[in-house]
Amino acid sequence: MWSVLISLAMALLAAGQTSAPVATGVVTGRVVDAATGEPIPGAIVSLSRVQPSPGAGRTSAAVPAESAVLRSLTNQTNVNGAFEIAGVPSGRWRVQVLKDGYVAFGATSSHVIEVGGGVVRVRDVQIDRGGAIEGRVRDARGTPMVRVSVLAMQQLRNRDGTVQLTSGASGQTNDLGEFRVSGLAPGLYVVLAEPPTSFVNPFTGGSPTAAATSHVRTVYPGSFDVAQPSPVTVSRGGTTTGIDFSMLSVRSYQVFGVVVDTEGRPVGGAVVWLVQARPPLPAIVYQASPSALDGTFLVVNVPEGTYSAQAAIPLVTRNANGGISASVRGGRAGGPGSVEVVVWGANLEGLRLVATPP
Amino acid sequence: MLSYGRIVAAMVVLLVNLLVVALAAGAQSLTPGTGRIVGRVVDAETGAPVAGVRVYLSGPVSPTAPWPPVLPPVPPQGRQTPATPPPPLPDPSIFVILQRLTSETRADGMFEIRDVPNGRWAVVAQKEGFIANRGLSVPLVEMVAGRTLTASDIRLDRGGVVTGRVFDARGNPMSRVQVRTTQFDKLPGGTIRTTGGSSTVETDDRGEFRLSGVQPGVHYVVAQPPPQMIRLIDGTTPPQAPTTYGTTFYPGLADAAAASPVTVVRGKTTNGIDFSLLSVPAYQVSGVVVDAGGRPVAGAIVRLAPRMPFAPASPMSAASDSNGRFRVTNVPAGTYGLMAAVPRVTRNGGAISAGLGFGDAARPGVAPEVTIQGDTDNLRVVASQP
Repeated sequence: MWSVLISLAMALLAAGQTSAPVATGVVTGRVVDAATGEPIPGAIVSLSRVQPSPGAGRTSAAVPAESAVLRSLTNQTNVNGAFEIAGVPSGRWRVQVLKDGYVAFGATSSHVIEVGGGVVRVRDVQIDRGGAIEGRVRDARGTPMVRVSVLAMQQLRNRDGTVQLTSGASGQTNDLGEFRVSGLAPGLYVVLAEPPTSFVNPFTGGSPTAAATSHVRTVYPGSFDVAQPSPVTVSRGGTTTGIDFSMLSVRSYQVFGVVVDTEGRPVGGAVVWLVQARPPLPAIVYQASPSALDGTFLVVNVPEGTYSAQAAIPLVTRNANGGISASVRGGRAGGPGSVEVVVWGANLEGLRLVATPP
Repeated sequence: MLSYGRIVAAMVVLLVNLLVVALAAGAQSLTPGTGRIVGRVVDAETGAPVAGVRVYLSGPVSPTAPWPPVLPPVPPQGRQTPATPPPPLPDPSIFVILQRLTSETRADGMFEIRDVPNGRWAVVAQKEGFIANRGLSVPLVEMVAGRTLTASDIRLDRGGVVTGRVFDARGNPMSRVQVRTTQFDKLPGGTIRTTGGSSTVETDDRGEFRLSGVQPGVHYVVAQPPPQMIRLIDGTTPPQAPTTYGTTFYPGLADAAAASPVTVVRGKTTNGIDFSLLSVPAYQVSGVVVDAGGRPVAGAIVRLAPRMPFAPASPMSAASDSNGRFRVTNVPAGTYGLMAAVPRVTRNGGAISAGLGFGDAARPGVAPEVTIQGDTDNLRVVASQP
């Protein structure tokens, strides 16, 4: 969620562009704890533009990429809780604050400021210490599960009575299987555990070891989905403990296939995904080691189900330090070039995917 | 007469063999000229299989080189090491190959690494809560193309655990503080020589940390202030304050040699390592970024990379304005490598990404160094060539 909020505040500002001068202002202020009044160091403060009307054009739309300085309208508070964001174009901006253990501030509220040419001093931004959920995740044999991502999604009831889950906060289990998800607003939360995040790098390869069974997403207290949710209550600033559960595991299969280009030639080094949309929860993604030189790939430990399979060639760049970075488009169910596959009762072989170019 | 224990042992061996065979039977489309390595990771104390262990191959190890490798002597900390030309960077393709040779153990502790090129490989295993195998406990496997080889069982030791809390100068818990242990020898003349230590963990929202899988022995706990959370390509720095946080040794000292030892015992948890990060004076560092021809460079990111022993790992940075001027705020006293580069912005469809490379300047001993002992102005930094 951090990255999402910060990217909301991204704006591309042209460096030294004199042809179209834009009036900019400076926004300063201080972040304090709402209960104690103590200044909060290390909070991330960002500004996101309040659009005058939908479709009025994004800030970044008209800016040439190469000559631009990429700047985000983001600052981190100093030891006194103070922040200062310079170069803010005129207009209406929403102030947002993120800090570990505190409820995300301003994401939905109307904490809006008007920036002209000068300095805008924001009054003390008060943020609330959030509640927390703590517990343990074990496997079926009672062994603590390490490096499990635990997600708490707030359950909101719409006016028409339907239930909606918001993207929430997450935590990771330690060597004892213990987790803590903090910074939660009071309310009802659906808690779910995702199988341990893989060390394996999707671009450069490696693969978990194939197994007959594998752990799958488990919704507290122990179901595959949110059909009968058993939400956890979080009070204002309180910690709900004892959310202990076992990770479910199911029979799993291997998916073998080949990646080709539009002319049918094998493609090596392609990234392959199997994506399963699971609204209202996040999609489940199984990823292969990159395809071999002959285009073959293997996705291990895939449970039974229907998946959208797709392959893409990553854009690989090398920087001057000798480091390599790779990015790829795709990974959404039903994306370009995707093929629907069903894994049922046996390994799947002979899957043929046409790679999306970078 | 066979004892009961012997029968169980025989069954266990049989079971392991069956599993290896099962893995071998699953072999598919091995890349020509490569083979496979399978093996098992167990808890050194209980002998139980360990799931979710990251296993990777290191090497290839030269057949003539001694094993375990003799580590080069660590330069003594606490005084400036002379600038020596750094070794050439390895071929990036090697990096990719090494990353590929990675796997994770499944529930029965078994792992499989495919597409292993010929050569002699070291099998390294890591998991939270365990000490990574090292030295003679790292099995060596000699790969011959087309074969499936079985590594000897890797036994991982749990070591000990250290927990505690970190506060700021006002007594409030601090999150995202980087905490680790270090082991060192005190040398005559006040310098110290690092001999080991734990990996690094972050404090949570209550300021709590938990270091697990720590080698038994005498350690010192060191905390470093939270890194700038803003992305590196971002030039915004927090407003200048009179103080900032500095590297702090338990129970609250800047000097490593005066730190209190913490004894880590195998299978035991040492609790209550609670302390506050030190406040240190904060300075402003400003100047101008120029190109090779001396012309100001706008939109460059200036980086101050700490070069002091036990300095925060993360650099501090600021962007240059249209006149090439920059200002880095809240810099603690110390020695820093000084470098600058213009981010390269690329568009991939609708997504914008920016890369920042400082070239050779990013490596110790290449960039000019500057010692900060107060507010510092009029620095000139030459931007790296992209």
